[in-house]
Amino acid sequence: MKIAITSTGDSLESKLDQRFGRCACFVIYDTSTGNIEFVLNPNKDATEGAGPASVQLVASRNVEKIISGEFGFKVKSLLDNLKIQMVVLKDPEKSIRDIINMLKH
Amino acid sequence: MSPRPVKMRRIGKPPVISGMKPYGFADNRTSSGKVFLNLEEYESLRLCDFYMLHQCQAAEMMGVSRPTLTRIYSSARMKIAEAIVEGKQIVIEGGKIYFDSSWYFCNDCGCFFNNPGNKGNPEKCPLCGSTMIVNYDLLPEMIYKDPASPDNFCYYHGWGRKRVGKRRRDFRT
Repeated sequence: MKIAITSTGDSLESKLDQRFGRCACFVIYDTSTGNIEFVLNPNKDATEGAGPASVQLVASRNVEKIISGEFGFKVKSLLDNLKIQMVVLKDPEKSIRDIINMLKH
Repeated sequence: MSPRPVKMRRIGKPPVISGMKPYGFADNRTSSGKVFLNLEEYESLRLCDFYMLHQCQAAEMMGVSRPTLTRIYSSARMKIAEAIVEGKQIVIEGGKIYFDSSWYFCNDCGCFFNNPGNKGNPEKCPLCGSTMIVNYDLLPEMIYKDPASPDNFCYYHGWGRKRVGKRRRDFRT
């Protein structure tokens, strides 16, 4: 299963980004192979529609779960339709490495 | 200039029926037209009349302003009155809405998550795998919010100033 995590940078030490649409980078972690992929977010500085565009980016990679700090209402209804699970973690101090370790439970 | 777009309204739970049909007409008619009740109007009835929330609480739950909720609610009542008086069918459909899927909270890692697509309750947290998860439902909090308590006083809407003489149905089981 593929999981997307919003990140503030493209390393394992970067922190969880508290926004979904305008996060700096998406970390796509594959639980079956353990592969970690970093995808820079082209919608980082978008003025409008960053959420839906990011959903499209993430959904094109067949992600089943997204971990972020907050989801906008446009994104919530889109993800509900796509049946992608949302996980809201309000902890800006967590690094990507911590989250991946938590996912290995 | 085009008007300001309508805000999306949050629906907590989809209706269990898609409509209602009248029966036993006095004259031997079989049908007398339809009334289309929007899902947002259905939701306003569910919150205001079934759960007996204050209109500003209901507005908060649907993600719209209090005056907007009042407009939706009065339109719902007009439509239902029309259906009963004129013996019309009620069809519940449409509206600018989104469904708020149910949310859960993990007591171990403190994350919130939803469970789209899968039927039934999740057993463990999708993040840390803990089984310490609880259903996170906004509605009970709203129903049992004590309007007389100074903590819940709403300066903008003015509710909470005194206990409103509205009888509450008891949903606690």
